[in-house]
Amino acid sequence: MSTTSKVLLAIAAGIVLGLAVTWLTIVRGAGMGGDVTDGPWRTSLLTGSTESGMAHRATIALHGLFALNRHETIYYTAITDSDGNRLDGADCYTIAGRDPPTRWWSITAYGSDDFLIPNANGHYSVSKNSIRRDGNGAFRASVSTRPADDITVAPGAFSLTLRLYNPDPAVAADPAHVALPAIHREACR
Amino acid sequence: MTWFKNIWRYVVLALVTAFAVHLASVALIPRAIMIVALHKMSSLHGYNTMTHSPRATSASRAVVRPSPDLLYSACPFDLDQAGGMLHVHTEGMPNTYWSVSIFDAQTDNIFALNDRDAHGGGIDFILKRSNTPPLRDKTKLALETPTPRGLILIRTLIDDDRHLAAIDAARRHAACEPYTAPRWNPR
Repeated sequence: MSTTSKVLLAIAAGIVLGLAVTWLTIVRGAGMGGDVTDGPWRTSLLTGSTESGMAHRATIALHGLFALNRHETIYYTAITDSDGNRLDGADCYTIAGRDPPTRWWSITAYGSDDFLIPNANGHYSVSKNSIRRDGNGAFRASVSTRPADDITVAPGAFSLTLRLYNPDPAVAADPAHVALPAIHREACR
Repeated sequence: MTWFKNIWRYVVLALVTAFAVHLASVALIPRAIMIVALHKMSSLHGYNTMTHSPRATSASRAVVRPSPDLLYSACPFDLDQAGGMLHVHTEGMPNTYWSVSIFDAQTDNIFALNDRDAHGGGIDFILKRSNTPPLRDKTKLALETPTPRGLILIRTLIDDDRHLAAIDAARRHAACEPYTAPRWNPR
């Protein structure tokens, strides 16, 4: 093999390797990601910000395009339940907690393609105003493939996005220690 | 180890190329995604006009991770096509959470304002390039964008499904159109 051929082969291998690394680290990622963890939820305060680094900006462009900056909205995404197991529509879950410190919030399920999951009743999300509560204000929502559940998903991997609109300043000050809802896997009945 | 002596420089070349390609592709993703998104959004009504999308469902495929609890109104802008400036305004926005945000061609959220910031009123501003002279009409709020293309997005919360029709009707007064400054007549 000539030296020219070896150089071209090395460059071609480099291009393939470089694109493969981008695919694995940015494109194939699940949800909006982030460097802050709070239970099963992850977020980044740099989402939507001009201070965002190249990799995070690319991740948001692919998985959360037109996300607002932290002064307006903070987005938490979960791809696992509270025990660390990957969320899968074949299982049944309960989301339980109390209102996070924000003006308004919602939790929405997305498929692995980052779009809403088709279901006959349009049960895509629960929000501060729509969720079921007990007498003490605590809330609970069910997630599974059953059409009657609060959020209906399809078998396979999915993620949940918790949006906090106009969050209290305490959230941005310490996003890793906000009292966020727990996600429990339960027996499907 | 003779074989390694023969190929090490090609291995280094491949690794350097891989690093450069990875950096370049990551840097290009936001702009490429924005070009595709603006193309999709402007395909129906063009640039510099506000489009009011219906409530998001699983059939909504223009932008990833839409919220079904919000109504989206979008104005894909091209200031070169608009003659340099764009007028963005609302009227009678509903009594619920809403926000107006501006995204540049790199997908950065360069401006956001919500109903509380507007003190119950609406918004009325001129969008211009950041490298152009200041607006002569000081009665108008001028906002600046570093890139001629981008998106203005209005999110309106559906706080109760029973209010959907009224909220939808109210947010449809929001508009954007090319702006021509009135002729300056100093006295």
